[in-house]
Amino acid sequence: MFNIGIVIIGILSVVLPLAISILIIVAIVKAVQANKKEDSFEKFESSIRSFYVYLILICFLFGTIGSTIYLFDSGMNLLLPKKESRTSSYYDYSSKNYDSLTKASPTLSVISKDNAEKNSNIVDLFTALAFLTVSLTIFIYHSKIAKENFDYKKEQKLTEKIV
Amino acid sequence: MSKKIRVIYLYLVCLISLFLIVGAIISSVNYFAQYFFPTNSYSYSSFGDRKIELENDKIENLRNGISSLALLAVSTPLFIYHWKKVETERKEMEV
Repeated sequence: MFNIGIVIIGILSVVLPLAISILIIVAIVKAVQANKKEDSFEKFESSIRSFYVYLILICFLFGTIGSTIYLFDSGMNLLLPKKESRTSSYYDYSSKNYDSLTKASPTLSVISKDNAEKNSNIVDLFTALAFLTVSLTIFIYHSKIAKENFDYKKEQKLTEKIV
Repeated sequence: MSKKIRVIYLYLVCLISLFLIVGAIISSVNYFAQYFFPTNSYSYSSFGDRKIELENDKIENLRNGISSLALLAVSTPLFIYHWKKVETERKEMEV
């Protein structure tokens, strides 16, 4: 079963520092290049902006893919649960006298285990849905910004050519 | 140069706060879902203990959910403020 802790820790401790360090390195390189070429501040800002936008786009593209797979996985687990063999391994520990372990009727513990598995799948489904919604929203918003940037740069190049 | 550092700072804060928002939303949904649908089975404890464990787990999930909401409440205004700064400065530059 997919653990949500891995997703959150993965996002916060691996992807985020990596993204920040890449952004800082690119910003420093761009700043040095801009100083050498005596580029305008506008160009520097737009290159940092486009880098930021594409970084987020790639992160949340993978987020969307991962959450879709996670959603399907938890949905399938909920619809088609795995059947376990309930033969001889259920003992009643409710009487605290552990010396006399009596074989119990599997009703109480088995039902609670089944319920727990079902609830776990429901929790996974909700989490996957939240992850998918958030990542898709952020992806769409930033893809619009990227498109605007692209169009703006195209216009600028055209006006430069005309001039 | 200070303008360039300012731009880097603004985008960096936006990036970090955006990731924090995503993490906070996912974890709050996860904890509140666990609060309403308990996932532990407690098959090896007695019935009384099981009830107490269930209650403790519920309280723990509620606490974690609320702390995730607090993180969301802090990081969202942070992102909105910095993103607005970025947008307004960009518009000023275009004009």
